[in-house]
Amino acid sequence: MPSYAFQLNGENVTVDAPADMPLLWVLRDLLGVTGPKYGCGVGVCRACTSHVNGRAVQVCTITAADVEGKSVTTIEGLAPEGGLHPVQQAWLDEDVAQCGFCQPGQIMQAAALLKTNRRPSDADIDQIMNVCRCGTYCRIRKAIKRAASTT
Amino acid sequence: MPTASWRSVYSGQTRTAEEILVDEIAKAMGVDAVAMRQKFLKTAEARAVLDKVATEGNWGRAMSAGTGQGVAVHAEYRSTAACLVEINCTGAKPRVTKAVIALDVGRQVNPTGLRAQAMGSLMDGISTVLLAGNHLDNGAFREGSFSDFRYARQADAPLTCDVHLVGGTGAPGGVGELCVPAAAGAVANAYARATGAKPRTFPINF
Repeated sequence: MPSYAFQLNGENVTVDAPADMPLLWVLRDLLGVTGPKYGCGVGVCRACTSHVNGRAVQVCTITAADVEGKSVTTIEGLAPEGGLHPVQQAWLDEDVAQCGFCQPGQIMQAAALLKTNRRPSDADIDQIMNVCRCGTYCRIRKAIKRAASTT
Repeated sequence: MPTASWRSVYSGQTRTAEEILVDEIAKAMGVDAVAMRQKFLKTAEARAVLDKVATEGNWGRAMSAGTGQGVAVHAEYRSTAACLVEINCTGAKPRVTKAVIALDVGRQVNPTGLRAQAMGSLMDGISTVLLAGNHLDNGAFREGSFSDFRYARQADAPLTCDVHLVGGTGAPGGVGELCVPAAAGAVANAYARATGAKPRTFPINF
């Protein structure tokens, strides 16, 4: 079984994994990092959204080979040590989560957006394709704007 | 009309059909849609939530061609809700741009949770009326995943959604499904008012 090395939430990891195993399963089943969620497995629900070298990626659609030598950040690694990321704080302030299943992906998508666009417009926020079956979209929009105003 | 295990089960469909006809009867009689409902609604709670959304949502304001407002009222399991939405049908697909919801659920145990349920129900109303359907073609579902099952996403959500909690006394009622029928009816009626169409099959925009 091939071995892959990459950085996961700031730490160097090496993992033996089948070459065709989606990174989502490498993270969840082999490395025990369960923040990224499985919804569809084909990159359309986006519950697994995490960051690869700082950019939002659906980790169900790539393999460990795709992140060899790169930096992977999941929801577990978003916040600075002992604190909350501004997007996480905004999520709490707006009480966004209902069932919560999609929310790690939503937060990682929002954090990636704010990294490249510090004052996103409504049209920019409309581009987010992450599915939330509880329908928390109105509060997601408010939380993104709140996070934008505090950073 | 197919019904199955779904948020609000049959109420979303039946209430929407009723509310569309209430609007059409009001129009045929030359009566304002809110005034018509205020005359025939049977409970003070229903009249109060409707009055709340009509006032807060500025019912009857002048709107440009291709846009419009819609209202609907629903009562079930000791709770009552009204919804007013505004829709814009001038783009590639209809967009609900604003929503105002009022609900009376009796004693309020968790106000922010009540508002959350109302907002989520609104998204189900938007989805089922405008966007999302399952189609069975010769025994196989056409929709395979969220790529082609077009349930509402961020771009389908209104830019503002205000939820008003009114009443607040008496035994607590239910809220988990309460606002789906009110929202669905309001979206259908707003679409009808904006386009002149008479919605009869759903999702409208499929």
